[in-house]
Amino acid sequence: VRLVSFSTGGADRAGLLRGDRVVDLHAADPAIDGTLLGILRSWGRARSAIAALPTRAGGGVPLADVSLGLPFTPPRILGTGANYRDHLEEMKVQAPTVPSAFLKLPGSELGPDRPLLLGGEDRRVDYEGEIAIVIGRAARDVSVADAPGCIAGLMLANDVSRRDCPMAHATLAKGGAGFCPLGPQLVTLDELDLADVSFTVHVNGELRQEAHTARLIHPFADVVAAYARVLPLDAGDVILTGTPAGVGVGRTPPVFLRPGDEVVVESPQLGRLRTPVSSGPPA
Amino acid sequence: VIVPRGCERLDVGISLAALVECDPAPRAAGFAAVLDFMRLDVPQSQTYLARSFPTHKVMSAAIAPAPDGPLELTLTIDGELRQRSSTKELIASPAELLAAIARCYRLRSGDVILTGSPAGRPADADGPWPRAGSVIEGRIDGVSDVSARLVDEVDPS
Repeated sequence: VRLVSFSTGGADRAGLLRGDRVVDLHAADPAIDGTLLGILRSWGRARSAIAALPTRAGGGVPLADVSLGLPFTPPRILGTGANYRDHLEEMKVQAPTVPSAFLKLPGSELGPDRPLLLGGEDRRVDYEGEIAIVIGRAARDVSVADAPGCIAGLMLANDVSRRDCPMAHATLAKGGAGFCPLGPQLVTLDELDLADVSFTVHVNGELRQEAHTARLIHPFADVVAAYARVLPLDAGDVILTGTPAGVGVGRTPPVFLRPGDEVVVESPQLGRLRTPVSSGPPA
Repeated sequence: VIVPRGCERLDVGISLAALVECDPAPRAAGFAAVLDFMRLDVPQSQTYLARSFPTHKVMSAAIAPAPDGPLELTLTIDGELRQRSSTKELIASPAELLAAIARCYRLRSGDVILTGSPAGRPADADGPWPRAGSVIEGRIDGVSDVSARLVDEVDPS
């Protein structure tokens, strides 16, 4: 199924996408939590309740009449770098033997269509289109074979990164306010083949990045199993899974985001994540 | 504090923590003592995971205003003195760390910056390593004491 967080003017509510309509999940079944994070924290029960909703025609509200927001604020956003060979060549780094790990700091999450604020003309801010894993069940010491059972689904993401900071400050350079656009849909595993998901990144309509999960160095199940060997993962945790070639800093000459740009991460399986770029300090 | 399952090398150090206040400009408004635990049985490229295990940052209940002079830091494991140093050994002062971070990141009030740990951690002597039952006691004179007892991770199933 496809889950969203939507609003018709008031607070965001958890919704189920059905074609061009959105069903308010909590209104449809009060036993289902009204937020996507609440749904993820009760994922075993919630997925059954969602599957059991009657599929009568005309339910919900037209998608055109709502705005889609940040699906949920993840308790943690982790990320693995260097996971597509073509991006390693462009950044001139070696292929890792185990999935690397970094953090996106609290406050970096940003909803679809919300402006990314550059916070100063001198900053070299770059996009990195990625797929985000959403954890749906506590995971600790799981095998690669069992890891998909801990994944609720996937979202699109943009691992926005400053290139004008020292490598030792990578977490700061990736952790700025709004530096992690996510969404707009959480597409659950029953709709997906993890080895057959693709996405593109366009900046102002120009194709910059293309990726397919068949080309991953560390497939999603490997990343989840590797992380869960070191620490417990919890429902709602998000893991960014790496970006392919085509980032701005890898171009000759390098190009960086400017006010007025529009970055679109798009996938036949996961929807369309649009981020307009604006000047001004981070909120 | 939880000893992760299978972790034979759990490191710990005492660290002065700077508590950030941003109104009107970022500054270290207060200080706390922190026991900073870290798994050393994890590949270097996963250091953020190795430092993020639940319970592995133990902050003192008390906080103190900015000190006038250098502070002595000590750490004992099961009563044995392992670290004794002074904040005058810091390479970058809390104010310098704040300034360096602020160049790449907009700090917010309530952020906490660990300023590093001096010599004497178990990693520096390749053990002995703390394990379940160990009692870790840290002290930063003029700031606070902080202590923790280690327990084994329980299998949730």
